[in-house]
Amino acid sequence: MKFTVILNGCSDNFILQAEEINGFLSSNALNLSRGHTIIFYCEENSKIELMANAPTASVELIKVKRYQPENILEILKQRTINQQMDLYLFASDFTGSELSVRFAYRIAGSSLVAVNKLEIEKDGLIAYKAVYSNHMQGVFKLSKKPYCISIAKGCTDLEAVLEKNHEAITEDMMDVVKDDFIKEYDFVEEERVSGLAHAKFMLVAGNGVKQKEKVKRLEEIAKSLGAVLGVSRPVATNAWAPLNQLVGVSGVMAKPELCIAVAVSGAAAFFAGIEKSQYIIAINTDKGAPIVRCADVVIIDDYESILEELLKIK
Amino acid sequence: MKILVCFKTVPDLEMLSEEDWAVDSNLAVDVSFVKNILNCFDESALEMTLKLSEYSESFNESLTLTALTIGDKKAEMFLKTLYALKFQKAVRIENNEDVRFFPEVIAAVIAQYVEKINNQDVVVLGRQSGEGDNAKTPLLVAEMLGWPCITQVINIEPSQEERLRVTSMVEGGTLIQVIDTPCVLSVGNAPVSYLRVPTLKDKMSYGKRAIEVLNINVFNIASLLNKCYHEYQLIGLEKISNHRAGILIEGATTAEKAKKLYDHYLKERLEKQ
Ligand SMILES: Cc1cc2nc3c(=O)[nH]c(=O)nc-3n(C[C@H](O)[C@H](O)[C@H](O)COP(=O)(O)OP(=O)(O)OC[C@H]3O[C@@H](n4cnc5c(N)ncnc54)[C@H](O)[C@@H]3O)c2cc1C
Ligand SMILES: Nc1ncnc2c1ncn2[C@@H]1O[C@H](COP(=O)(O)O)[C@@H](O)[C@H]1O
Repeated sequence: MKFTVILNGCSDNFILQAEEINGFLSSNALNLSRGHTIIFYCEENSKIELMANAPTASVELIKVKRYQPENILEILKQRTINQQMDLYLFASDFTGSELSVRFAYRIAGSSLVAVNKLEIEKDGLIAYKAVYSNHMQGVFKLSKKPYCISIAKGCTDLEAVLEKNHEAITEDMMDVVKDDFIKEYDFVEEERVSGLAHAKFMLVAGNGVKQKEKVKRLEEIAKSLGAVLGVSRPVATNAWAPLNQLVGVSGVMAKPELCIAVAVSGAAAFFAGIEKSQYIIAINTDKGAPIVRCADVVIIDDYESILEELLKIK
Repeated sequence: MKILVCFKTVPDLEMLSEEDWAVDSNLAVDVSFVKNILNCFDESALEMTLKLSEYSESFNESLTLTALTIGDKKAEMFLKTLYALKFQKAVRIENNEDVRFFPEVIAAVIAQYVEKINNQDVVVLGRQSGEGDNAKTPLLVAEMLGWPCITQVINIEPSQEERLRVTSMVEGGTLIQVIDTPCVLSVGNAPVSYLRVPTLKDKMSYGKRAIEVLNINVFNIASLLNKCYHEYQLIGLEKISNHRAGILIEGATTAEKAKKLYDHYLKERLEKQ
């Protein structure tokens, strides 16, 4: 299968994207020699690092002003117009999913978002992805090439790129402008990184904490236990905690050694974000909450009393 | 400015018990007996649009808000609420076909609605919805209309000269863009989770208006579906199982439970950290 990987080199998470795609390629037995990589980049001095992390030997670096989907989609179409490609693979972040769907539409292919596994068949591509809010795994058969697939967050182990003999061409396409609907543009950097993606010990709190002040207290408790605090969707969307602390399919997919989940029901879309934890301890007042069956150890009680007791013992 | 919000009502899948997840011969799960709720991203989208509308008045601009859903009668309760919250138009496109995994069909119907029936300046959608979890509809609507699209939107405000100030989440921070319309906005994890509740008075005076119902056949659904079948199909569906041991720690008091947890399960693990 002839494929092209598309990566966003304007983003700080580039290495993560590359290692995730690389892991995906090897776990799905895609032959790297049939692959090509296109990397969009913004800064001249990042080129060497970007190229070194391209999963395939054949690389194309395209310079753009910034990551802007309207421009990038136009460039992608221009660059790939006469290619007989079978598969375009995109990263697991939001840029990957938005590009895969829109690009597929423009080149009259088919797309699927958040795919965790592929099987290549003679007359099509079999793709697996979570559906029913992560309660179910759906198997899809795609029969219209080119297939444009963005991969699911955390679906494979990260694999460092080993390819050393990159052959790159570089092109400046800063003059493609399809974004003149934007009149003002202002990027505000996150005040602090959450550190959840790499945390070894995570405390994660759900809607059962009921108020913002309690989340503040949990921050302190997490700190004194040596854990990083994550939250479920309602906690983040109630603005009790920053959005970058959100855990789950639409937030961080964490892989800690130890996870204490308090006052979360354990909805499937949330659980996917802690599923890779080596050990899960749940504290919930409801014995019937789904988290009870998905944890290694469970306490049925008020989360706050238990945590405060733990601090005393520790 | 005319704004269309497209929302979907979804079965509350968290209500299903383990045994309820049986897959039938059409690769579907019977969810008819659980309560229908607003898809969470769409609930944010609706509330965000109401806030925008209020805020716009201080810019001396009035918005025309339309809410649209494609689905069966179950959604009407929500459309009535939206009338009571002063949406000017509440539309339901009657559909009984299985389009769970065909966002292409939903997007084409929405795009046709905007192009042929009710022209808009902005279309607001949620980023993803069950049961398909497709995460494709807003992107496809943008492509079909030939409009730009901003994803992961968390706030929409009015700006001078009939423009919008749109905040969205991006890797490493947030982006604030002032944009010209038309545009498609795809709402992400916004810090606006609940749709406000209408007052009783507004319910009485606005909530009783007739919901506009259109038949999906007007949109050529048969040929849309047919095209999709040729491009991709669902061929399997299986429950994801996350079960673990679930060892229950018992004790007469909170302190006793905490102690057991610490001694038997936590101490060693914490020391390893
Ligand atoms: C497409 C899609 C994507 C989604 N993505 C995510 C995601 O990435 N992350 C996410 O979190 N959700 C996500 N969701 C939402 C998810 O389905 C659930 O709605 C959400 O996870 C519920 O959060 P919760 O468990 O904190 O809240 P609730 O369901 O309200 O549960 C609160 C829990 O707290 C317990 N409790 C209450 N008081 C106490 C107490 N004093 N002590 C101990 N326990 C107590 C209750 O028994 C209950 O189990 C997504 C949904 C959809 C449709
Ligand atoms: N049946 C529908 N009626 C109206 N809007 C829909 C429908 N299905 C999906 N949408 C919109 O498209 C978004 C993404 O859905 P999906 O692509 O199916 O994950 C939802 O959040 C809604 O805003």
